[in-house]
Amino acid sequence: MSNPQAGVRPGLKAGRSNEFTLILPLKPGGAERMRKKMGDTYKAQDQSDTDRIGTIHDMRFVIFDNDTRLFFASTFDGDWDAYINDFGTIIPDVIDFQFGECEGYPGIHSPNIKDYIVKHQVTATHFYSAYPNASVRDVWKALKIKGGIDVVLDEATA
Amino acid sequence: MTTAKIVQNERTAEAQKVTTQPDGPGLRIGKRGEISGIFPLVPGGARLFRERLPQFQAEAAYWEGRVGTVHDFRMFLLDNDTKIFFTIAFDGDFKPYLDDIANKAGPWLDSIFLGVADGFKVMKDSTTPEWIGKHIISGVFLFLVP
Repeated sequence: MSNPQAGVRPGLKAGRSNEFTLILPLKPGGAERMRKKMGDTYKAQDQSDTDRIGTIHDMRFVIFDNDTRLFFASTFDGDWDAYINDFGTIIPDVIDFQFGECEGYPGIHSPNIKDYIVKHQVTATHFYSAYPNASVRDVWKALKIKGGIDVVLDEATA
Repeated sequence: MTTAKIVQNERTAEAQKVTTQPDGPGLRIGKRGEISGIFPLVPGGARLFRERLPQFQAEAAYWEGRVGTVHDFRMFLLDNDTKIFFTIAFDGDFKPYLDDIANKAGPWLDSIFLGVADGFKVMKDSTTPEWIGKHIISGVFLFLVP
């Protein structure tokens, strides 16, 4: 993959959390096709696949501007290039499926993918993260610990 | 939303159930919801927005700490500085969230939007929830770390 801005990637950082925001033009009719793709059927499998990456706190797609543009926002841990590379190695089919309705989208395995992303990435002017130094794996660990404590407390009070 | 059949497998076993908010716009997974929206700016609003932003950013943790239900919040200027795009992930229903931010972070939000966003009065104005609702766009897809 090419690296158009080696060492200098768009997006704001708060602690270990990064914001990643894209504004992309949609193909004619792409908005409607995307709504169909992202209905209940698609969400179920896609979300569990995304979970496998293990660095994404949240992500969302919003269609706007009379169905002509797509807004994508995510919050992730770590490095920009690693984040994009994970998409290509762990969920390439999901990413191509999700962004395939965007004008000019070259495909996650294209050598031009990072240039395409940088061209359409918008750096936020304001970014707040409630737990900027907690990674996704930290959150999962904390939830497991809380779950264990809850079980102990429930048994003690039963 | 499509009603096509889901093929059950080891991955769908981890699926997060996505719904719409029960009382307003936005998608919802479990306890958490999302909203995004676009506020139009008054002429010169972008310049004022940028001037106010450092103070607004510096106070974010204080005010969001008072609200206590926001996971993340970001904003950026759009379309040659004529609009602000914002997106937020938060706990709970839509209307209680609006009440919370008006009551616990109203002065902070007023400090950035008043005189910047076209039509915005103050967070505690009775017409503000309707005004905000008019500018919100629901997502078509949402993923949240469980």
